[in-house]
Amino acid sequence: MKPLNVGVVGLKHGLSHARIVQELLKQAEVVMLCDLNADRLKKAAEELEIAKTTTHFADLIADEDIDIICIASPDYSHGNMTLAALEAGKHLMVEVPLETRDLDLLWKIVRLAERRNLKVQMDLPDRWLPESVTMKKLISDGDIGDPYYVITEYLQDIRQQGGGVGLSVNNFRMGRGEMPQEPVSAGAATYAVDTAMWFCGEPFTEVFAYGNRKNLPMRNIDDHDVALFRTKSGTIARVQCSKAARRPYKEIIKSVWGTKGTVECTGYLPAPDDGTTVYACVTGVGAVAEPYEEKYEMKPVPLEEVLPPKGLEHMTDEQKERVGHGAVEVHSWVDLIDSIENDRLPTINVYQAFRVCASQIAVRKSKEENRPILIPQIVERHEELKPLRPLPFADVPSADYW
Amino acid sequence: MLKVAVVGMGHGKSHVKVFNEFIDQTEVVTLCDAVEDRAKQVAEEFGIDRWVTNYSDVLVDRDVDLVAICTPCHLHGKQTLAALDHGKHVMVEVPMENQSLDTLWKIIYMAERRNLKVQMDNQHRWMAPAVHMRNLIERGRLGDIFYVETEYLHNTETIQIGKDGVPTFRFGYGQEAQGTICAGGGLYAVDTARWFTGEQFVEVFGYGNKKNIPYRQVFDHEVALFKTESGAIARVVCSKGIKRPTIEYMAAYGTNGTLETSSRVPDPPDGPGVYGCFVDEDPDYHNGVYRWQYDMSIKKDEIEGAEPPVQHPMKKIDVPPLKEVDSKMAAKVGHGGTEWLANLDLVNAILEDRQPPCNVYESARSCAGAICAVKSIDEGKPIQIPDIADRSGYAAKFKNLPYAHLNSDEL
Repeated sequence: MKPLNVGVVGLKHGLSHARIVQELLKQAEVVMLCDLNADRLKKAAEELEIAKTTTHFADLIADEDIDIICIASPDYSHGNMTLAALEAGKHLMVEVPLETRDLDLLWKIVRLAERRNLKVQMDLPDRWLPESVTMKKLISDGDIGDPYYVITEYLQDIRQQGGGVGLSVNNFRMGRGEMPQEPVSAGAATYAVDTAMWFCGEPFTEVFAYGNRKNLPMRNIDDHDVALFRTKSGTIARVQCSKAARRPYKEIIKSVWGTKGTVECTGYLPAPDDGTTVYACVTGVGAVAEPYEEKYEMKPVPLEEVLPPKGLEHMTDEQKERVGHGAVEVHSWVDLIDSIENDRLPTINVYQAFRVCASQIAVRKSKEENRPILIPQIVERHEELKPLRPLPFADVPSADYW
Repeated sequence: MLKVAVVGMGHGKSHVKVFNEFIDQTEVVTLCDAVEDRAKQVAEEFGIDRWVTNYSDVLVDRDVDLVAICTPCHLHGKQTLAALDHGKHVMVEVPMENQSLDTLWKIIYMAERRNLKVQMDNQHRWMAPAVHMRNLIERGRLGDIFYVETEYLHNTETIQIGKDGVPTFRFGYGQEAQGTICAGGGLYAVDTARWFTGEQFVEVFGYGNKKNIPYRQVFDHEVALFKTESGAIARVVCSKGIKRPTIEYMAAYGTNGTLETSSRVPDPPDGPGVYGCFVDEDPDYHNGVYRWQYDMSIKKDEIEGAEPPVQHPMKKIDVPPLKEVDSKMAAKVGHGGTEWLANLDLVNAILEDRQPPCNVYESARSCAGAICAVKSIDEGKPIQIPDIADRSGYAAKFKNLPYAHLNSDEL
């Protein structure tokens, strides 16, 4: 099969994606780079020896050779860029979140991806972290029973990131004349929302949230959010995100409480000496009416091994260091390419991205309106649509379609 | 010598010991329990002459100055009000009242009119780690508090039904089953969270479920988000069916630092305790801003070349032990010896005619929060929490309020 051609937009974090495709993947190659900053663009193009560059996103989607577009621009631009790329018939690898503000835009993205049968993968490294995989396995195996409470969070201090430039006017987190980055409704908090939903095993149906801005009041936007989500079965998930918590970056906790036991990924404090990161208390009993005497204890759980994707078993440490997020993004890419080749939904597909981002949008709405907000539900229709393809007007641009 | 009546001989036994053996100025004169054998047994053990099975016998006993209420949670409010009505000071186990805001207001008015002292025994307020955290917050080491977390996680499933096969008060027998955030240890979590913020809660939203103990009619797991006057958020979780060791986790996040107890992790390398980090230890950081924030005179290259700010790891903090409580004492008295300190504070407050630390206003504020949390869980919407002003300063001015001697019925 001819390798898939990739165009990358946003060359800060996008550089890591470009390196993955260029240096690690056999089935794809980067053919074009896009960034507003001409210096950054030139540097990246030289490093990866890519001939075509542009400072206009429109050039990227107009290029007919390109099969996949990777979007790594600031959060607020993802939704519009995704829709435009789908309109141009491209598959997508989108950094989190897919869309932060507009529910309507999310529906449009889903419908267009369905009509054109294009694959959209939202890049969520959390799904391939050994800690998350270990916890999810305990839940799926039924060891902790029915989950009734899930905790996830993302705590960072943007003042300390990028060598302390997090608050400079140059950083997209500050807004730069656009939307500054919100706590739960944007950025890496998307990991926390998705992981919580994944652990619950069912979509969120309602949310209530509070936020405040005591740390970075100059952004005119909250820097700390706490959201309580609820699922259909009554499970509660607490997702918290702080953009300026005064504590070490990324020491975050994941915890699932079930009717038969509890599993927790430490993170709040330095890990115990033996380096264990996941603990669980598995009792083997559910709801009992009889006195139950056994003493509960949180015991270390050995981590599941997450094997490198097929064809990348021999990734060197040097190669891993050149790509972001601990090289976990490699899994996302291999998964996306496989989904295109085999016409299946990728792991964090457009439906899951919808569920996560619709929940995030509801968080903001709840804060604004100070009431619990219902989260729209979505049905996965990929398999149902298969026998009906090609759908009528599949190739007609949206403007003509209407 | 203050004469004390202790009501409820389950946990009350520990208070009998405290008042009789550890506080010089008090003496237990009456015991009360609905089960006569229990009252008799404790009376014999401590050499107390009088025991009754009817609470009204305690109320009409003119010798009694102070009533210690250790009955099931749903009875506390009415019993506190009745004791005040009969002119007695009150020590009440958590919660002071967990159903009716109206009862809370009545308790406050009655305590004010009669100049009687009430203390709700939130053990955290006398526990060394919590006291030290609160002291650091009060001294401004964390800056402005924007988030507080407290948890009371205790599997009571195993004690819903006693060893003798008889359901306990937690199960609810012809009475209300013990609630979650608004009953028992839930109030430790609510009151401690509020105590850390140093403010009143103004609004609350909560969710609950009962996947663990479905055979009761009440939720066994509740989560509530409280908002304070200044906008700080407090997240309180209470689970009565959780499958893990009991935890009372506490954390406070401020604009200048973070504090938390280690109880979540089995044992960090430096051992269990309170951990924290403070940014004002960073030389690049002054008055809430880094050098390069908004300083437009600093050029972009300069920023990018700047040394990254010092990372602040969470370090273990030395917690000074509370005076006098030694391990010997802690083993003898309930809740790790905190009951002794709490009751001593109350007794001194009565003798010196001043407000005890967890006084009627403080208790009522936290109980109002818990009551509204349950209301929010029931109604599925955020609920406003009433503002409860501390009027103890005024009470001193109006010592002889009219009709102070009349009880509520006569008034």
